[in-house]
Amino acid sequence: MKTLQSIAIVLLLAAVPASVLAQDETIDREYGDVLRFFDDDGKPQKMERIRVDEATYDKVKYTLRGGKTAQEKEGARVDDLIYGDAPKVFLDGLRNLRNEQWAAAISDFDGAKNAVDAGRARPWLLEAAALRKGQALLALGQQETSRLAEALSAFEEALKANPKSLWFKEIRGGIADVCILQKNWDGARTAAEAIQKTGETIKNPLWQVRGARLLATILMAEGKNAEAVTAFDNVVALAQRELRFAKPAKWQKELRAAEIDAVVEQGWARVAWAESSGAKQDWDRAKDYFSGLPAKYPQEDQVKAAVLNGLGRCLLDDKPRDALLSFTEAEVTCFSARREVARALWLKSLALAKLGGDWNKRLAEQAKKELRQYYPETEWARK
Amino acid sequence: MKRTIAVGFVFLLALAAAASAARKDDFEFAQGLVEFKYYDLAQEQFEAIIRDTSRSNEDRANGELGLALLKKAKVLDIRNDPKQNPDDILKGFEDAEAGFTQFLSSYPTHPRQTDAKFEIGIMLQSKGSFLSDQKEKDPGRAEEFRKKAEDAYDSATDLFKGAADSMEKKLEDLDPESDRFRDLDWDARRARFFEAATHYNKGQLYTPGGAERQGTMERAIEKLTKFVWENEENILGGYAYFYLGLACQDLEQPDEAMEWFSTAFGYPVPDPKTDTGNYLKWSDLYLQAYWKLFEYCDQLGVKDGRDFRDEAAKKAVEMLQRLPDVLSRNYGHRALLAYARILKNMGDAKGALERATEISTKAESLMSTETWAPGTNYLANALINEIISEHGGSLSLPPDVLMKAALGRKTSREWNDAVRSFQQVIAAAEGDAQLKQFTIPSWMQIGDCYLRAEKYLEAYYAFDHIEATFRKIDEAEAGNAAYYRYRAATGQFAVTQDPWFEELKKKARSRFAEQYPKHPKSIDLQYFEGADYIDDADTARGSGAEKVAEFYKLAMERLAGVQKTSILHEKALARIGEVLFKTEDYRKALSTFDSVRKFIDNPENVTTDPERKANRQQSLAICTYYSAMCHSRMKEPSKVLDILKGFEKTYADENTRSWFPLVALARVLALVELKKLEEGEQEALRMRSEYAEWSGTASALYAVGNAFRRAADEAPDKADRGPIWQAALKKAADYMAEYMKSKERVTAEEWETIGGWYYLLKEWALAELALTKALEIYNQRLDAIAGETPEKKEIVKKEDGISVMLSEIYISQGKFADAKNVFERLLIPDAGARARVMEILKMSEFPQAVLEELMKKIRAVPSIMYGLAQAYLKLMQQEDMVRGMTLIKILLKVDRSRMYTADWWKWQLLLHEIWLNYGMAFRDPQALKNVVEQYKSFSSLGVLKNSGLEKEFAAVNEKAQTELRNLGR
Repeated sequence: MKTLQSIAIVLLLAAVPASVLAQDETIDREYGDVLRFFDDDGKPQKMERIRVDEATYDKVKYTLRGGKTAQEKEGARVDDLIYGDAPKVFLDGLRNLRNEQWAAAISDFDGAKNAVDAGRARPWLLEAAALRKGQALLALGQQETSRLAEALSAFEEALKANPKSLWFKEIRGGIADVCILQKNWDGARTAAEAIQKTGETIKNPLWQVRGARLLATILMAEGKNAEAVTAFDNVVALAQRELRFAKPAKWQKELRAAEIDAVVEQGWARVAWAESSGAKQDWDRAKDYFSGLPAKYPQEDQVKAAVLNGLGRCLLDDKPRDALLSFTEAEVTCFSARREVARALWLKSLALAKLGGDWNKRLAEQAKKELRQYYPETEWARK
Repeated sequence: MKRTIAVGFVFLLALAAAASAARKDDFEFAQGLVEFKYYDLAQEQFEAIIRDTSRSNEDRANGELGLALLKKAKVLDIRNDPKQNPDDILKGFEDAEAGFTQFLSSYPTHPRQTDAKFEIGIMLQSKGSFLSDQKEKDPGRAEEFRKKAEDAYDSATDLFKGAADSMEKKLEDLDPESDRFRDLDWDARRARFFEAATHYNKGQLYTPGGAERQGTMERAIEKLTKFVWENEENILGGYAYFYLGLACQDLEQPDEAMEWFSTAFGYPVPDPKTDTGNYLKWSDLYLQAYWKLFEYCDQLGVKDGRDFRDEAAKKAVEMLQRLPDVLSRNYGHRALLAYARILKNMGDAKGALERATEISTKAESLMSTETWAPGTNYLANALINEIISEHGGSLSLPPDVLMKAALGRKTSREWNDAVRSFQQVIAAAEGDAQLKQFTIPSWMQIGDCYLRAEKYLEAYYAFDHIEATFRKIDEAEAGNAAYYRYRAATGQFAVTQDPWFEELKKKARSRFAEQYPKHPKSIDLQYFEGADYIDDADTARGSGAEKVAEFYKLAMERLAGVQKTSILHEKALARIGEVLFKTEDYRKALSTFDSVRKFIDNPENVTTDPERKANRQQSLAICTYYSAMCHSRMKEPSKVLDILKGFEKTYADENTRSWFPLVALARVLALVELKKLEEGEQEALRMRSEYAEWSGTASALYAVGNAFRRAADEAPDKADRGPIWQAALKKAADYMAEYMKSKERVTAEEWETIGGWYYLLKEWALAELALTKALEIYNQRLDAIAGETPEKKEIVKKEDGISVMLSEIYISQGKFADAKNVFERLLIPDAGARARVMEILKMSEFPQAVLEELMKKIRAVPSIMYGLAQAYLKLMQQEDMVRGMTLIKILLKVDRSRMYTADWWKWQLLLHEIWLNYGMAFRDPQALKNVVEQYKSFSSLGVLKNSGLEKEFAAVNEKAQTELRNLGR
């Protein structure tokens, strides 16, 4: 069974709003918040010198400096929200999170929470700190499974602090990832469905796609490969459909990325299917699937890498040398497709082991060493 | 630290030269030759001065001084060369010191006495510094080096003190307004300064925090402080403050250190335009002091409420304002790098990166003119890498900065990291404009890194990608990529020897040759084809001499076609020499190697191409190795050793290190041939330790083992099997045994040989193991031979010998049951037939048909049958003893021509003994009667006296008779 939880942590970290990390924004303690959103035409806009009073996925309520009445923006339109009074301890935590210093990050976020408890910070910090703490614990939990329960608690705390959080997708996503690691399929499914449904309600296609993707991941983790294939196909269809209507350029980019990701993962679901059945026709289907992708996605490195890896995998048992060439080409020429490169390194080590001999054995060990060194977050580094 | 002092001293010497009047004479000219490293010419010049009888004695003494200066320059030149033997460098220092000492004692009133003392003093400083480094590199000799360094520093201190005392005394008699006074006064102050500063250098020898170090540093502070009081206004005083800062830093006195450093650079700055000379002198001091202050502050961080980094950062801003040319100065770069590091550690990654990039860019521009530039560039790129590693996620870095970082990684030979760094450059490069500047070069670098990491397949794909993707944009580089793709495929085939990759290699070669016929590197294909043919020839050995010869001929043709302009020209020549060696034309091979060396040494053939230089180094390694091998074949082992002396130091480069095991083996063989067994053994043991996995190591052990065997044969006490013989044979056996462990298949002969040795050495367990294995393999060979052939007879003879040894071993150890098991297995190899044979053997009489059946099932080797019968006798089991009788009777059924031989009598005696013991043990009178009757028959025939066993037979007969009487018969 292949689990895809490692991709989740990457996505989660990528979702850390970059602007919260900005240290050079002028901090106006009272009206220091900044809201970035998309207008009706999908163009990015920014509202500065505001005080945000309420932030949910339904709406964000804020007051302008010098203004008397509160204003609102649709939650689904919000791209980013920067709170101007983020305490140093929280910012330190974000830096540690980015630098993968998990323990230090956890300690910082606990400190941030204490600041709220002591009345020195606004309540928004509770959900933010809990979410980031959950992310740090989830990353740690990949190595020490005993921390997963804590991660879950942190995410739940974030949800409790604001059940309609703007970061609902990240919070629920984190819960889903923890549940997958714990093999709690029902828990994961509940979280994933919540994201998808909420996305439909607030008309945020990124949330819908995220939820659908999680559902496909869960099926794959459960070993329900045939259903996973269909589920990934659904994600592709959903992303393609939403892409037609999405106005913000950023959404278009992310939907396109989600489509490519789902296209690739569908291929791997087919491989998993073939591996479990052992049937020649399943292998043929996987091979045909990968063979058909370059024509549809000629410019995508991730697809190119997946095709090389996928076709190589289909050859691995009978023609390990040809497979080795395929994996090596993927590793070298598609280096931007990080996950596929990690997979290529792993598959390369298998091909080399099959070919045998001292030289190949040495190279196989090197490949595994590189995996651990450069792609430690991936499931193949942990094998 | 040590570099600081060295440079400072050199600078101050230059001050001394400036203080003296300029003298343009032959001595000065020769000194200039030394400075420019024309050592041979300088030597000629100094010797000419000495020989010139028209000169005054004083003038000629300058020549002596010059020779000492020359020795000093030479040793300082090699001081930091890792290929040099440290003891050779030390000897260099001692020779130079001796030269100066000779000058001082021979010419006590010479005007250059002071100069000479300064020279020795500074050289001793350098010697002390060298020894201090060696102490760290060679812990086994740390104490020796420390003591010598101490002596060097002490001598330097005494010299400077002595010089200062003497000069100060002379000053008392001079007019203070005179030039002479000024010159001498300056020299005296210099001597005092050096005297004081030497204490600091000496202190560095000792363990940090230890009492000795503390004491020495305090002494340095005392001396320097006193010096400063009298020299506050001159630059020596400035340097004294600088050294006070260093000493206080060493004693962990940050406040004092900060104060002294600040004072050192607190002097006014001369105008760089109108007073350039003084500006350069003083600013050098300031920059060193800033540099050391920044480094120290970074180390301290925040301490006792004081933010040292913040203070240093402020001083850095001040430095940049005061000294506008910081970026062009060596110490300026160091100071800026230290400042950049402070910025990084204060969290200003962006500022740190800007500074580091600035330094790297400037150093790159000065690479060809400033000797410090490459080192500075390396350090700057390393810092860039650090900053990116720590803060890369938050910085949006342009491709030029990422490129510096990547190149830094590559210079540090971190191939995998470098690949990833170059990938970052590619990701950051945007647009077509940056393709040629960054993207394509980065891909080429990626391919190169893979090649250096011996990841040939990865390199293949990198170059393939370049060629396929960028051909229309940069045809030249695409051609390069195609060439290196071929090289990568060649590498892949070389390491795997997989025919599939041979095809890949051939395709890559064709593609390059067809698509880029005018590419400069296409001429190099000749070389690679030639090299391939050599490999083919080597592989074809054993397939027929004709084929081998054909391949060598093709190799020669290809290699001879490599043009002089090719970067592989010398290597091609070297390989021609290799072919000549392999085709046994040793004289011609040696002549070819000579011509390679001459070509390289010829000043007209100098090259600046780094790849060609590297190829030349490899060529020389090839020439050296094969020259030695030629002499080996010509039975000139001494020459082999001479040629290979110091090979590992001379060719320590990564491209030539692969020769080391071959060289070591050649040495072992030469030493063995020269009967220098101890040295040969040591070298073989070194091979065992360093090249355990290499197949040649086993050959070395074999050679050594064989040599010891010969030594045993020639031992003076061989006849007596004395201690010399024993020691030699033991070594022979042990090394052979080790050699055999490495073999996939050990022959019966080898087992037999070593078993025999251990037998002679009475090492029964090892002898038994080896001899038993020999027998097993011989038996397998016997079984494969049909009919009676000479080979079969030979094997039987060998088996006889082995069986005799084995039986002796078993019986001497009382291992009769083991003997029985071994011999039964040897006698009846077919386990299924064993039971039947045992039954037949139990019969004391059987018909001819049964005998014939028996003979088909057993291996009727006399020694085995005899050994088994002996074992049966010793074990005294009734049925077995009957079998023993049967076996001996079968043996004795020979035609008349073989009767009464030594073996025949031996068998007879054994039969008698079995009858006797059987009769006694089982009270069988018939068995005893057999003994008596047979003895009687032999006696009447008068044949016993020729048996050599008359007494033995008589004894057995007597016992039998006695026993019969006891039985009442």
